[in-house]
Amino acid sequence: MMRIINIDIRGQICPSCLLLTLREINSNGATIRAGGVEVVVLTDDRLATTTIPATADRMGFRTEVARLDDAYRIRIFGNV
Amino acid sequence: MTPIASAFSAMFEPPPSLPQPIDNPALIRYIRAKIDQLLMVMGSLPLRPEELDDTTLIALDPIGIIADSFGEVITHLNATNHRLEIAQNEIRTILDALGAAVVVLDVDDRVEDCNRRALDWFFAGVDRAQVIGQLAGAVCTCAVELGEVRAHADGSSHGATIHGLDMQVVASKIADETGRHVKTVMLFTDISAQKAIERHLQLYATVFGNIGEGIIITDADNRIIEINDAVSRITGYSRAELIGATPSHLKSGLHEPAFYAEMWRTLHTQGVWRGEINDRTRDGQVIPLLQTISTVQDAVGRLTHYISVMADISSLKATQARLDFLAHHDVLTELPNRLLFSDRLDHAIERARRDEHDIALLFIDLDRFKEVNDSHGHHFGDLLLIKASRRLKSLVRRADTVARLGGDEFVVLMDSAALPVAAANLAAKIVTAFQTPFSVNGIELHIGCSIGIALYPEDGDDAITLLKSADAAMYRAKLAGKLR
Repeated sequence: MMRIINIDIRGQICPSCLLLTLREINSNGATIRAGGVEVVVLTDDRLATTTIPATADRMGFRTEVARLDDAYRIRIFGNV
Repeated sequence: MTPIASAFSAMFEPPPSLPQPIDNPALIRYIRAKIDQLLMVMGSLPLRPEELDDTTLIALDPIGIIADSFGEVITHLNATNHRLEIAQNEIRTILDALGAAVVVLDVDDRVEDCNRRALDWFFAGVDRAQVIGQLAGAVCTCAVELGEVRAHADGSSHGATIHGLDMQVVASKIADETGRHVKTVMLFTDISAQKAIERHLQLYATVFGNIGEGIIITDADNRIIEINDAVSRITGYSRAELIGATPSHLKSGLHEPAFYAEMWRTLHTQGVWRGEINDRTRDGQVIPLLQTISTVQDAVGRLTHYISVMADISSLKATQARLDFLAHHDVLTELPNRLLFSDRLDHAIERARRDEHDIALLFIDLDRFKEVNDSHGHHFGDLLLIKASRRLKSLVRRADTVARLGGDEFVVLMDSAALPVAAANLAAKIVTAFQTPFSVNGIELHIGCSIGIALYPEDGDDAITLLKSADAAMYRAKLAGKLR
């Protein structure tokens, strides 16, 4: 059963966005990689839609960015 | 968390016994500088003090977060490198197992990689280590050819001959992310065997098209799938008319069903049938063919095709018939010769003996023929013999045999129930007819003839005696004629 960790960092800007997301990813790295946890970030900082996926990608995670009405949703997940 | 990530984390975790960095502005500046340095590596902006005050900075522990993230990156890199190494080994194994040679040259023409086949074909079979990094011109046994292939590295396939082998070559340029040409990959496939097969097939096609014998190929259902030009030449049917038809299309109707049944039985028991067969051409003529039909089977013995090779033996048959005719007939007059006449006389005597009826033999000798020959020449004499034989033949029944025994001697065999009076009548008719002059080349010739008659069985009951009796009677008649 997949567990979803939601992080709402609207109002924050990079690099805080990146650091807060990375903290969450680091805490669940192996589980995310194995497909047990998915981190979903809600941000209104456009730079974060670049830095977070790029860094997560280097760490071996998969990402997906979607534009919502007033924010961006970034999914970070592992093997599915 | 990975062991490396934990190590990073432990390294940057401020020991609780030490004074907190918040109390040390220089240390805070140092930490912020290092954090910015790390963030820059990660492609992010530096931290601004107004965004994160010193207390929050220490509480958030960015260095720890980044260190942990680096740990994850390294873990990921290690895993990726591991997979890459396995993939490289896999590719190396595949490349070395390839029947084709692969050579990779960098822009300076140094060998960057090559597989086992390339080492054998182009580098005298040395170890890969002796080749990698070396200039191709220095280590390759066919550097010129390799250079030409490299010069045409456009991804297209083309042919090349290297060390006497026919090669199919595909060379492609590899570019880096900026589009700069960095290496050339060349793939060489030995197609010598295919080329040899192509040459053989071309030769077979030429033979197939130009051979004098007709060749018909049918499938297992005996439907014609291919013919050569000779078949059209022999039968008059075009290729389009015969493809899809069966060979029975050419049947003459002259053979009994048993003939074909025996042919098929032989074909299926022995795999081949040879024999003469009369087929019918497109214009309705019957044509004698010498045919060899063979079955073709696949690897598991299943019948797949029939191949029929046919030779038109019309002229051979005509020659045979002519030779047969000449063996039994006089060349000049085309009347039966002595051989055929003797045979017919023997048979006639046999029948007469069995059926108890008479036969008569008229021995005819032309009068004054020698004079004609002497005064007008042999060619003139030959023409006279031809005219005399025709006249003679016109006087006898169809059932009777007129033969020329040689020179100016002719015989007439009156077969079945020949009464002596009939023989005498015929002799008189001939004598009268020969009293009429012959016209040869505008010259009228008066020759006449003498005839002797012998009857079976009175004058002889075998061929030799009967012929001698007729000959003797003729001499008596000739003598009597001279005395008159």
